[in-house]
Amino acid sequence: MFLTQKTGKMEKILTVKNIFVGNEEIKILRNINFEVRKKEIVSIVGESGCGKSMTLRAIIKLLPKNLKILNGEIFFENLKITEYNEMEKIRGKRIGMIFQEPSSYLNPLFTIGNQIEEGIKENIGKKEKKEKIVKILKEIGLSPDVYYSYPHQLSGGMQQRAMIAMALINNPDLLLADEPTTALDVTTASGIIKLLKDLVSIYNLSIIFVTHDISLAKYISDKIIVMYAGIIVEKGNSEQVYNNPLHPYTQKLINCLPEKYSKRERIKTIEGEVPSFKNLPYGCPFSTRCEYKKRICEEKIPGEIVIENRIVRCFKYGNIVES
Amino acid sequence: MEILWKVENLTKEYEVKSEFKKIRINALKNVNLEIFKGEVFGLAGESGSGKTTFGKVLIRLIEPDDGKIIYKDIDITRMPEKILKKYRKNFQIIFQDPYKSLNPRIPCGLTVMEGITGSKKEKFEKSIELLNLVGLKKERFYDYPHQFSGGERQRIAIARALSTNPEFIVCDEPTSNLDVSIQGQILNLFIDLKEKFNLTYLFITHNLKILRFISDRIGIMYRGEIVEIGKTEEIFTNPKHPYTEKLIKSEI
Amino acid sequence: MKSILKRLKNKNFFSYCSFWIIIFLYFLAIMADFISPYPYNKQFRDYPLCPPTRIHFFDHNKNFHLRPFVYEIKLVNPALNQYEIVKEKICPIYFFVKGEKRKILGIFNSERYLFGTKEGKIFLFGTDMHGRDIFSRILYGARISLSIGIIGVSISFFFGFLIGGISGYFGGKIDNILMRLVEIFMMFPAFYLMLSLRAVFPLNLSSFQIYLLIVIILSLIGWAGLARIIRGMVLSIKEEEYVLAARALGVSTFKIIFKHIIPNTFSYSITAITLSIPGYILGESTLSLLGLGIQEPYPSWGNMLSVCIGNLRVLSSAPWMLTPGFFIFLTIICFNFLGDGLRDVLDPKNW
Repeated sequence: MFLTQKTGKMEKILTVKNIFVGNEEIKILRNINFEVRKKEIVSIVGESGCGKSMTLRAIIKLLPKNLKILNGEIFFENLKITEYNEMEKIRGKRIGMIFQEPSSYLNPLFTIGNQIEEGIKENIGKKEKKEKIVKILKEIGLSPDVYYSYPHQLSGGMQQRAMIAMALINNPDLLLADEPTTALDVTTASGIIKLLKDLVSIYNLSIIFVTHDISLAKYISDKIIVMYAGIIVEKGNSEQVYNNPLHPYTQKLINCLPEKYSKRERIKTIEGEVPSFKNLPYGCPFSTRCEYKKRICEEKIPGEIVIENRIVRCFKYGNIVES
Repeated sequence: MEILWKVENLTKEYEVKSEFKKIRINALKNVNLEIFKGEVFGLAGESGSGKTTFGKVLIRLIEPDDGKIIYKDIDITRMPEKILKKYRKNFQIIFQDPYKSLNPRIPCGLTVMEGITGSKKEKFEKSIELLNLVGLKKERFYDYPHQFSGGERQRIAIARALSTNPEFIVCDEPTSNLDVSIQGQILNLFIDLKEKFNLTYLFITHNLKILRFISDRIGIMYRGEIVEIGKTEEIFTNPKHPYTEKLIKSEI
Repeated sequence: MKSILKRLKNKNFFSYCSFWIIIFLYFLAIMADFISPYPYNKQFRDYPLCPPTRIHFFDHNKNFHLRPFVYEIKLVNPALNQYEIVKEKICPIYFFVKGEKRKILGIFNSERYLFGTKEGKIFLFGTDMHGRDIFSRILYGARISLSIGIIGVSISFFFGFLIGGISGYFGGKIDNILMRLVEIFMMFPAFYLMLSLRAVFPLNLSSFQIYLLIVIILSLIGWAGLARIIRGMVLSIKEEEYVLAARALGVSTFKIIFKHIIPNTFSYSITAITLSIPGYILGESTLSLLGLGIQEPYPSWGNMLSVCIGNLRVLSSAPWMLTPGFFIFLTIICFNFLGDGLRDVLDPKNW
């Protein structure tokens, strides 16, 4: 019934088109363009301050007060979210979200069962709600007793699973995951990753997975989107992006991984630091740290260039300028 | 190889009140290990394994409950603080969180200067030298910690650790809060400094990839106990303890 | 200090203004001898309960006078304390006017005062039932009320830091004993403790002795709360990593406490201190109001208000008698705003 092979997933769940986020003074996200298909896991990879979390917040329309979507459109299934004003009907029901620190997002005063129940949008009786919750707890890998537990009684991994249960209770089509495993131990994290992958088939879920770990992104996702200082610099199939990165930033990022080196060999790092949004360089934001910098890099922002099913934004591959 | 540290049956317990009962948690339980001069000894483990506690107990920032800590044939386990102070300059520590490990009210140059002895001029010059060594310009001497990025603050912490000319440094998850590209810079710095000053490191981290890259030998900790110790490659290619195996398999 | 003020001005303008109002009030208190037109105990028997004198620039003939002036007042109905303006007698206000001989700050002899009239009387806030100028009494009263606040807080501050710091840093038995001591002090309701302590001493001591007594009583009540707060902060700051790093460097215990730990309590403690000064001012006012504090004829804002208690006739016919209350209110509000603003400004992240 459900096509699990990669070729089966053709239907688009989410389309983000030319999104700009910011205000009069600063631009945080610039020309963000990507699609998510049914049952696809897409990773957004970048370092802190690149705008990856902001992208998720733009999709679910929970941007901070001083920022808004300046331009562009977001389509979720057939709905134009950017013009839709009743996001409460979408959040938690059709788009779910999980975060990095489960302990901050779980109310310490209420039981897990209580908190999950709060999110149920269907109009059903209390008994049915409880059945539904217990069912999802089992699917998530938690014992039904967790229904009566308080957050502090659970380990970090269990708390994260509880949060996933809360996000999926209404069977959404899209899950936004903002660094869900960063705060967890390695062994716990691998359990969560495996769970998420299973959930894609069980729930017909699509996931946008934000992380700073490009190796993890390669492991879990079908597509990788690499962001730097508010723009997408490269996107494409995970294996290809990881094994054969095109954008200089992606190349250097992968070269920073210690596992690529022999013992105590000097790591080839990227000189300098990520620019702050208040002080973005003119032209391509990576130009200040790029060894391939040309004159045009300091003047214009590169547009999207298609190379073998992949998209790169770099003047190294052509002189297409952003419109 | 000269043995720098020898730890015997080190134990540290904490009493935690949980739901009207007092529970004893073993942060460290009968830990035995040796650290040789000039090596990088990696300590791996997940949260609750006791690895951070070990680093602090080793250099007696936390008092042990039982066992022995021997530094170069000197038993420092119960040495009174007055005498211990003379040895403290030989072993320093760098913490995980660059945002918490510096006093927010003291300019960074003065933080680095704190451990240096000598005349005012000598102290000042040595601090500038240390800041340059870690890649910070002297113009930033009077800047406050919040004016620096995470990576820069970690550099200040490293400069502070070097200020007493130590031969051993406990590195407690020094790159875990940093971005990947900055992590690379800091790891390079650790390697450079090790070669320049012939340092010995206890490198504590949960990141096995970093451990494989930087350590000569690794100790694996689980719930306060050492489950396995061995040369780095041995641990990764031929893990003996089931927990070690589980840990290595979980790495993505 | 300058930078703190600058930051205060930018972040919280109310706070900045409050600071200068407080400075101004202290200035008035210090210079009371010079600024007040009359001595605090000078009774003008012809002018009991006189309303505040109005200052005019235009006379009843609509002529403009460059020098402001007041009219001479005459008591017409002693029973109802009614006054009439003598329109013909114009009494100009002079600055640096000659008056009675007084001592400034107890040291200099002077005959010249900031302002006054050569003929006629100028009562900016009216007079009390003995005919004493309320404006002058408020300035002298400020000395008591404002100084007790600062001195009382300083003493509490000192003990609070000492006990709280030792307790927090060393822990164990010392902590236990000291905290039990603190709790004994906190056990008593402050108001009743204050009254009891006062009652232990004879009622008629000299003014200076009473002053000291009040300061000591207020400090004794206040230090305990501060000590507990400081102890709590020291306990947590002690575990901060930069303190551990300092210990690892071999820095002496003394230096660790005074260089690392205590300064990091400032953002809270200085604010707490600024916000507790009003409590001390009110404590003194209450004692004086009840007749247990500063005694007549020396004025304090509290004892100036005590005549209003139980005397409603006064309130309706002579509301200017409540002016000391306004000054207490103003002082307290300014300290509150100042404390609020300091809280933001002392956070090093804002430097």
